[in-house]
Amino acid sequence: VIPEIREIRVGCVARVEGQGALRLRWEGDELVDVNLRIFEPPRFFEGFLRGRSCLDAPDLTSRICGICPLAYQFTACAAVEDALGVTVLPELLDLRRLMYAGEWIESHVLHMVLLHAPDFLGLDDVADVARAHPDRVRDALRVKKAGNAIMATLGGRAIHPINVRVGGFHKLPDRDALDALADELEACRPLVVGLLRWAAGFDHPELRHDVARACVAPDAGYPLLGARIATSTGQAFPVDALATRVVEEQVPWSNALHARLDGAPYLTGPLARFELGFDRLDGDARALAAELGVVPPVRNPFRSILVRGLEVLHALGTAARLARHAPVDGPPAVPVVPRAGAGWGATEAPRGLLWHGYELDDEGTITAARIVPPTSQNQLAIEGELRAIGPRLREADDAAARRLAERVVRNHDPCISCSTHFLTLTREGA
Amino acid sequence: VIRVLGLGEPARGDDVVGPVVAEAVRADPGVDVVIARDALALVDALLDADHVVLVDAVLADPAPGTVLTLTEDRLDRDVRAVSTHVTAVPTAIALARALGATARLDVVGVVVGVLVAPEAEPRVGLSDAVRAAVPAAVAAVRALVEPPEAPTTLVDGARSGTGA
Repeated sequence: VIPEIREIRVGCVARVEGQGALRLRWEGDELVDVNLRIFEPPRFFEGFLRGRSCLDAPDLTSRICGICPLAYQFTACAAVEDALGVTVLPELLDLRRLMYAGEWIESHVLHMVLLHAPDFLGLDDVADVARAHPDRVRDALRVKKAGNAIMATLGGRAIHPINVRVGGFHKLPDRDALDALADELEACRPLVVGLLRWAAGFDHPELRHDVARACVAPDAGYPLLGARIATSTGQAFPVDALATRVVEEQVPWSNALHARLDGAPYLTGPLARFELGFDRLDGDARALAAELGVVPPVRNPFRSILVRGLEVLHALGTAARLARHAPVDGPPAVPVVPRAGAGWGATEAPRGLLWHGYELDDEGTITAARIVPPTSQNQLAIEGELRAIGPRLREADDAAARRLAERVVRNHDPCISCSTHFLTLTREGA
Repeated sequence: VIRVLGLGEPARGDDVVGPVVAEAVRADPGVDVVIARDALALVDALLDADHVVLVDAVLADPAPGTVLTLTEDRLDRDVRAVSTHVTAVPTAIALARALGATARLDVVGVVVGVLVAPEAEPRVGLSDAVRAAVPAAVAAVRALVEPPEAPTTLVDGARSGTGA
């Protein structure tokens, strides 16, 4: 008997960053293929970093992404500082935390309300959401603007900031600007509480697919910057161990590499951070989480919208506090002398764990680079979730199945153009 | 307040024509010039101002360098951004209108060819055809911004080609 073959294709996944598609194929009742197809072209960043000064790595890699440029800048800084043996002053690390909060706020609010909420409301896009819930969208735009303002105040501009350097910053911010920022961040907190209560009332479909979660260890607060990685399987290890524990593999249907940690798929991002760092979350965010019944571990990815909201609340509180106490005089950076070395750095981009590794020659020129963004690490976990929801997709008609499958992808806010910067393009039969 | 919003990315060749034209009217009285790379700035403009003149590179049939003055209803509403890096102009307009924006919107579009040809070296700055259109685009913006009873002054101002 020849089994009935059914294929569901989503030609271009909407409301995600970059260009990706989906292909699901059943033979009879068996779901044989689940392909998250990332066809965004390869971007070769690791290749063209070779021969460049390590001091250029932050600004060059920031161009990997227009939503999370800062994640690339700070991760490149961390890796180069590791290679050069540079220790950044604690107050400058606090400035990095403040600035990074801006990126989390703008990226998360954009995803929550403009990209993700339409899924729960059965609407096509943000204009529909704005017609149905104008106050929520207005609030979200104001909060997003506050995130942009942090980036502009500390970085010189909101996208691809120009004030970040290995060792610290080019220039420290101005006291008045920081105070104005802190006022607005505090004013945004009730708006986010409102957004969270709203999103908590959505119908979140059930889905559970257990894979290990990994993030920067919460040694110095909620996962963000740090020298160690923690996992939900109880492991903790230095960032440089990722180089050997994570194996990346090319698959025919994706221009992004698939990553495995200790041989298994794993998930990074808000759900991982929330599970491993909940104790270090801002107190108000923790209290609201308990009230809304969002307690770790959150294993249903459809509830990631709530975790993102709680992270925004956390980021607003942290950023307001840091802005009040940020240094405005003193050296903006510690001295940096390029030399030979190798180093690794990891930080938490809004979407998850991002790590870089560089090898430098005597002049500090990059001779090898490795960049592993969150979306390529999450690809296998997302495909696993699509498999887990397979029976529901099988029952649904094509339009409903496509919609549900896209939602599974969007739950993780994938940043597809980040994920395709890899080094080697292998062409078969060419 | 009349806001002139120049939309475009400086690193993408002719896409920067919106900012170039908007900068040229920055010193004009009664005008608030904003430069942005993402059409989300259009949402703010429509919510904050009474009248918005959006200056942007457009893809259309006429030859590159043609200046078009368009009203909101002439724009293709089906254009959607492929990436969440940017908001499409029609999405930004729909979003602002849904949020209650009543501002008048005019668009001065400068027709560009292919922004960055695949085989070409990346280029920063305008092509010859589009650069030549800047004075006409500046004039088109001023015609929308200034009171209609003074058309002659308008044209003279345009000929002087301030900043173009």
